This record gives sequence, structure tokens and C-alpha cells, in this order.
Amino acid sequence: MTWSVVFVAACLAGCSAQGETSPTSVDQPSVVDASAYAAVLTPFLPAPDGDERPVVWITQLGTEPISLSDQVDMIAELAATHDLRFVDDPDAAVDDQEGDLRDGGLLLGIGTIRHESPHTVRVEVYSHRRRVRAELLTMSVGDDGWRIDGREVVDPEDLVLDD
Amino acid sequence: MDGASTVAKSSTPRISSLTTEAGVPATREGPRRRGLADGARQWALGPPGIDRLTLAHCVHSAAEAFFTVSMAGSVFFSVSPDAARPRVLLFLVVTLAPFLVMAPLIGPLVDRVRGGLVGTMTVTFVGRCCLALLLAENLRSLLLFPLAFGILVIAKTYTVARNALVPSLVADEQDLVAANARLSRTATIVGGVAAAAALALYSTTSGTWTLRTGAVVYAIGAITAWRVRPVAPILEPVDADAYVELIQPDVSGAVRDMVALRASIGYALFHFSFSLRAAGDPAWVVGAVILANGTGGFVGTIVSPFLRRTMSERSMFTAALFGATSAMLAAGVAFGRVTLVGAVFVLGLAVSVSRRALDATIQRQAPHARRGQVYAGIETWLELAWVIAACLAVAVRVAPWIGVLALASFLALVSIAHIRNRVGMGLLRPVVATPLCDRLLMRAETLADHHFLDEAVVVALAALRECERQGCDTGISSEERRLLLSEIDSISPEQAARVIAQVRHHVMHRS
Repeated sequence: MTWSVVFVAACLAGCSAQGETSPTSVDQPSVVDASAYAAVLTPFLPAPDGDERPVVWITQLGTEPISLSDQVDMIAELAATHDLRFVDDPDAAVDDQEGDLRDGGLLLGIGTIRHESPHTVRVEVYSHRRRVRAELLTMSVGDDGWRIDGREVVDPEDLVLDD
Repeated sequence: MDGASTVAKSSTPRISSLTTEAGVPATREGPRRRGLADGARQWALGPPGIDRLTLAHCVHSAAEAFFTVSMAGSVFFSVSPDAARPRVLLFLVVTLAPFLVMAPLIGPLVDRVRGGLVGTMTVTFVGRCCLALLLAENLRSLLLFPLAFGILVIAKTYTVARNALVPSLVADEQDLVAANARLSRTATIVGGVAAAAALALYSTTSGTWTLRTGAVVYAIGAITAWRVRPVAPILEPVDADAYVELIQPDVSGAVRDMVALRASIGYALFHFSFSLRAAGDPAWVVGAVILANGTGGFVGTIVSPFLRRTMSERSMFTAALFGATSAMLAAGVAFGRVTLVGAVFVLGLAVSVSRRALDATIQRQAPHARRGQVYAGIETWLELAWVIAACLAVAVRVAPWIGVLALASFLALVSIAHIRNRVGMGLLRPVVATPLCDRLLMRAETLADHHFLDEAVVVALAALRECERQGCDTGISSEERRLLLSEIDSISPEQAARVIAQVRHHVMHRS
């Protein structure tokens, strides 16, 4: 019985190791880290209203998921002013009946930041299921961290939500 | 042993003698009020001996409420469920390790070291106090996961130690079932009040301050746990009787059913924690599910005594399993927040009722297994089932309603196995069609297979005697039998096998 439990534990540990999407990004420094994503978010964040921290839902547009440690770092970095909530399925952020964002929030779909220069990333901003705008940001990294060099409004592709 | 008995006597003074010695003026109102107060105290805390454990368990329940509420302010509810899943799974697997170690080691600790369990309980409170203080500073960092799961593991260790301690705190004539029911009932009430206080504190301050307050409550728990004093004498090492009792169909069936129900609760709590969040449900829905489970458990402690009066323990298991299966099935078919909370309430109720039924079964049919060592072993397996099912819930990503239907299917299978087992036992019991000597021979062979050689030979000789009573000439003289019985303590497997083979020959050819 003990061995069977050890076996199950070993299997589950194996599953766990497989399930970790990017283990290196958690433990090793990466070019595209939480500060890069935080820089992408900044221009789109709603202004805080008094003591209320606006809710910002975040979902991934690209194929490269934002690692758990990056998510935690972003939440911690903006905790004082914004309530960041990451969702796997963007529909989880939208009220089924009205199409508004839950908790009066805003949904940001963030694409994968290109690792090579120019570092471009696509962002889609949803204030309602049917109200969307999209921008393509060009970024660079310097001694003072990540910054946005250019913003270009592009046609929304409704990558996150559709009817 | 004498010393222990003296301790037991001195630490269990009768309520009446205490009130007499109190020297309160002899008015009519005084004794009546004292009587009411004593009655309320007995209802809530139990008789002297177990009252201190009840108090410690109430503090544990309150501290856990503060810990649970504080988690609402943690980063767990902000990160995406899929990102958190591997890490939660990893730490859940890590929690298995202590139980693998504990299963074989806890026995000597439980039965041979006086105060070993009390010490273990105290250490679990101190450990959780330290971890809660650390966690309060790390609610929004990755350290949340190891620290929170550290508290979870220690809480499980506490549960095993506490449940193993209960039999040594109730005198023989007292009821283990009643004691466990009282512990659950009072602790749930205190936990509910503490949860309300924790919610108020959380909404006015933060998760950090809620957890710091929880750490203070854990520290108080350490003091109350340290004051628990076992009243039963030190126990001799457990002999084989306790383990033989556990393999009785009624007892092993009850343990099996309880393991399945504990696993269901572990699965349900973790599955809903992830799947509801992934589906966009707010944190309060997860809170409502946890609350429904606790409320079901509380209601179970109230209805169990009534159920015990009207049905057997086995029927209580049947009702619990079928009730939980039906509720989960209904919730899966008509999935919604209300049906889900209702189904989890019924599941919590079923687990609570089954727990009382298990205690009653062990108390009635396995008196030796009541002892700490064996009882702790059962508790360990129950907690393991919970953790393994929780791992499964985290590893498999499915929509909430699919999870509910999967749980309903599992419970349905367990219910079918339960009924099959029950019908099978019903068929086994009135075995009048099988002659007694055949049955005794079968039993002797089973005992020999389990290496209970002396018992096997005695039963085999009884089969022989029964065979002779039916007019069969066995040819084994009384002198041979006496000789065999005189050397029974040192009988070898070969000798036992020879005797049983000989008896089998006579039984088979008796016609």
C-alpha cells in the first residue's frame, strides 16, 4: 500500500513538472519579465477612483503564457493602485447577461512580447464584450528598464472575445 | 498502571462533588443556575477529561477560520488558475510525504509515550502560529504556496493526533460517538462565530491583519492543547486482536465507505476552488461552497443521534452515500450556484453522519481498534484519501458541472459497491445451509492463511468435534488433542497445516 502511494505521488510529481509551462522563466532571469509586462499595462490602466482600486482583468493573447512568478510580480507591483486579476478564459471576466466586464473592470488581452528587437506586442482593450480597441506597441529595454517607444492603433481582431 | 489509574480518578472529578465543594450559599436559585451552567458546559465541552480537548479543538477551529478568510486577500485569487495549478499540485504532493512517514511511526508515539499526542497537538499549534506570521508578510508573493500548504499539512497532522487522542479521554462507560459528535458540533459553532469575526476584520483591515490575528489564536491553541491530560491508563502495545477486528466485514466496509467520502470532500473542495474561479465565479462563491460543507457537517452532528436511534450504522452509511450521490447528480444535471451549494451541503452532511457511524461501528465491533495506535492508522488513511483526491482535482482541468457529474459517478460506484457488500454480508450471515463443521473448517483455513496458527488449530479441532457430533469417526484420540493443545503456543506452520489437512479429510469424508 505504501509503495502504491509512493508511486501515485511520483506520478503526480511528474505531472506537476510537466504542467509547469515555463520552469526556466520562474527560476532564471528572462529578458521579458514582469517589468516588461507592467510597462505594457501602464498606458491602459484606468485611473484609481479615491480609495477604490479599479479591477483589471488580464488574459493572454499569444501562445507564450505569462508565468506564475511574473503574474505575482505584476500583481505586487501594481497592488497599491489596481486590482489585477489574471484569467485563463477571457469569458470568465465578462458578465454573461449584459456583456459588461465583471466588477466594473477592464479586460486587457496581452500578446507575446517579441524577444528580438523591435520588441512589439499587441494589446486589445475591452470595456464591454463589443467595445474593443487594439494597439501595437513597440518597446525597448534600457538601463532604466522597459519603455514604450511607439503606439500604433490597429484594427481590432477581436482575438479575445467574440459573439 | 496504578499510577495512571490514580491520575485518571483524580482528574475526573464528578460535577456534583465540585459544586458541593464550591461553598456557594444554599439558595434554591443558586443550585438551579449552577445546574443549568453545568448542563450547558457539559453540552458544549463534555465531561471533565475531554472538556480541555474540546476547548483546544474550538480554538483550532477559530484559528482555521481566520486562516481561511485571510486567503481571500492572497495572490491565489488573482493569478490565473492554470498558472497556479502546477504549483498547488506540487505542494499537495509534498503533503503526502508526512503521512507516508506518519503511518508506520505514529503507533509507538500514540500508545507508548504518555502525553505524546498532547505534545504533538501543541507542536502543531506552535508550528501553525509561526507559519501564519510568516505567511501574513507573504500573502502576495510566491512564498504563499509553501507556507499555506505547510499550514495545511500541520492541520492534517493535528486532526490525526486529535482523533487518536479522543479514545484516551473518554472513560469506558462513555460514548466515543457522543464525544466525537460533541467535538465537531461545538467546534463548528465556534468556527462559525470566528469566521464572522474574521470576515469583519478582513473587510475593515486586510488579509495580513486577519492572518496575524489567526496566529494569535493559534498561540492560544497551543496553551489550551498543552493543558489536555489523558485520563485513560497507559496502554500496552496493541496485539493482533485490534487488527483482526478491523478486517471484519462490517468494520472494514465502514472504513472503506468513510475513505471514499473523505476523498469526495477533498476532491470537491479543490475542484470547485479551481473550476469556479476559471469559470469567472467570484471568490464568495468558493466561500459559500466551503461554508456549505461546514454547515452540512454541523447539521450532521445534530441529526446523527436521531438516525442512530432509528437505523443501524450500516444503514446510516447507505443513507449517506445515496444522499450524497443523488445531490451531486441533481447538481450536475441542473448546474447552478444554488444547486452546487446545496449538493456540497448534503455531501458535508453525509460525511458527518458517516463519521458518527464509523465511530459507532468501531466502538461496537472493534473495541481493541479504538486504541490510539489503530485509530490513528485509520485517521491517517482518511487524510491520505483526502489529499490524493485533492491532487486529482487539481491535476484534471474540467468545467465545474463535469466535475460534479464525475463526483456523482464516483459516489454512485461506491454506493453500488456498498450495497453489493451489504447484500453479500446478508447472504453470508444466515449460512444455515452450510453445515457448522464446514464453516469452522473454512474459518480455520482462513486463520491459518493469516498465520494465526494457534487460533486456527483450536477452530479446526472444534470442527472435528462438530463432525464427531454428527456421527463421524475421526480417529483422532482425546490424548492426541490434549497434546496438541498443550503445545499450541509453539505450534509450527507445518504442524498446523497437518492438523487442518487431517480435519479437512474427516470433514470431507464424513458422509
